[in-house]
Amino acid sequence: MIEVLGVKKRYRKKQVIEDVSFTAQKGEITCLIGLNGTGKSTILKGIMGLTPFDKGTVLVDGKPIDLNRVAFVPDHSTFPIHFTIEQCEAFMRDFYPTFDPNLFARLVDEFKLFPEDKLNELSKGTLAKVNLALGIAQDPDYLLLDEPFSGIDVFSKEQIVELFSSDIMEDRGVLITTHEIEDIEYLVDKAVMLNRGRIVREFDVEDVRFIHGKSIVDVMREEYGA
Amino acid sequence: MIIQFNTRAPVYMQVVDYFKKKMALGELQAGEEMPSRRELATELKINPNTVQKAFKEMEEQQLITTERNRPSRVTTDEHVLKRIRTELVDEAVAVFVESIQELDVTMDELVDKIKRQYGEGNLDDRSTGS
Amino acid sequence: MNLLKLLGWEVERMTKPYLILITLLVVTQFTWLGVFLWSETNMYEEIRRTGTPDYVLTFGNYIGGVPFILSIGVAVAAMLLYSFWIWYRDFQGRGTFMMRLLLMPQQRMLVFGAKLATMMLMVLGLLSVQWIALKLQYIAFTGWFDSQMIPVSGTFEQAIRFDGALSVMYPASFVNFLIHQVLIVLVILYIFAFVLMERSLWQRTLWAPILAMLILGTLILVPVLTFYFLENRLFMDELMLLILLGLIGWMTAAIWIARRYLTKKLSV
Repeated sequence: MIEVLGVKKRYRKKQVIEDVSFTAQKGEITCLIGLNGTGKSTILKGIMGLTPFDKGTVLVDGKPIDLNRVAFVPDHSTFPIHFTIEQCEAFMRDFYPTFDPNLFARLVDEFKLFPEDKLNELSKGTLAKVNLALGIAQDPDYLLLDEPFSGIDVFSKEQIVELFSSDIMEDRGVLITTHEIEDIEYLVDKAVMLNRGRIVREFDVEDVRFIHGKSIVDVMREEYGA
Repeated sequence: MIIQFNTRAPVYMQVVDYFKKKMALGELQAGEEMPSRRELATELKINPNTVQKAFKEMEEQQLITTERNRPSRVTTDEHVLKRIRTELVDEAVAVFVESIQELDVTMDELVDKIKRQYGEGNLDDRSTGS
Repeated sequence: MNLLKLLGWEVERMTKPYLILITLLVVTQFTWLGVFLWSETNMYEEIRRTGTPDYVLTFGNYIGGVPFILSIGVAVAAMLLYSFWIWYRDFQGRGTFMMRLLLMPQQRMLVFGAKLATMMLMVLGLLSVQWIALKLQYIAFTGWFDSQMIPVSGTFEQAIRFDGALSVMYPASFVNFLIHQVLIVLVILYIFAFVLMERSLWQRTLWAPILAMLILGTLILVPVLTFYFLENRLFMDELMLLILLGLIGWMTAAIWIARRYLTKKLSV
């Protein structure tokens, strides 16, 4: 379980995150929902220690984060754009001890990627798939994904969604941020809604459907008044 | 296999309903092997946990049986299968009656209309079928 | 092992610009040498015609020339700039490569170590190449004037010793050479510490670079001021000890700050 406990973050004079706490379970898909600019990415980066929180703690299975067990997939490539997919893989093999080349090969196959392609020649959707493959091939217990669906074509979306319901993701805990829930409405176990740097709702998606007959979008409409 | 999901109802219940319908229509025979949970999740593009929940629900309703480490199978219990059919028909009729009541239709008129439309429907089926 | 891999990675990235720099340096110097030899020969011919006898030419005249000093200056500036760039490069764009480095499960100080080692490799490489280039230039220098029967005075070593920049780069004793290397490391460490502080504080305030500079400036100044205050009150031995302590203090402080900000505060 990933526990985020009372974290805060200020950016210059603006308090971006005010006292946020929530959990994400292993073997479940938790979705961090919020409109653009509500601090979703900041929370993921904070969990990974890329932009440390000012206050609060993050625990993974009760301990401080171990980067061997948690992987982060940002919404852009972290490799120089003139790199080929192969070169990215070579770097990951060298410096990420848990990186599994077989798993990566399987993902390359499933996503129909060409290892000799350069990153700057790829479409946004393909680049998203490369990023995802590099993240999953780290074989982590937990996977953090920042806006994996934003601005990508419908077929790439479908491929990614399919991956999430496949055995590759079995037993992994997934934390996804998004502002367009429609793409993954049926994938999510739990929704955490963020507004103005605070958590406004945290709920089991099927429970809300069952008890209140509401979809995630219904709850979003209530919260964000859209 | 495509299910048009309704976002406002629990997805697992919709999966259960889907299978009930298939069993009632005989598309899934008594004792037939169910698709694996994993396959189903990938095919329907839904969360594997949801499929798991749906299977659990179906087991509880005795629609399927699962032995250790074996694929689940449709029940061979005739009573259960019959019950599903009755249940589905009752549910559909209930929905229908509820909406028709709002229109304030007399029983005679209703039965008459049903007979006519039902007959036409069957006729259409036959003509397209042959 | 991981340090070596990272080092290899950093070296690979700097190779191209580094080779360009070195080529530029050597080409400039040999071009300048050609110009120097040609103009000096002409001048000597002129003097010989007018009959003035007091003509003394040394290798120092060549290495004291503006183009030569400029070439060294450019190389030093390039090294200083690269000390910044070796970090800022990884913060470029939205898809910052720094993210990849910080997400590595290894100790973050390995990244620091690899970058520091890369800088030192570049500095030492530059010193060796320049040394060889100097020797070759000296050979060409004496060879040419001998062939023209123009008298040259002074040795190679003398020329180096009396040259401002070169006497720092190539001190006469090995101990001095080591001390100079330590000072170079110190400069790089402070640049690294500056970048890491600035890259940690930038999300907090617009004044991050100035703030970082102030903190480091104070750190550098304290031992210097102490030294001037105590200079006339202590014996030579004690002063030497003080200088040594100051150097160690500087180095520890820079590493401590770099480590703290790199591992706890750096923001991508």
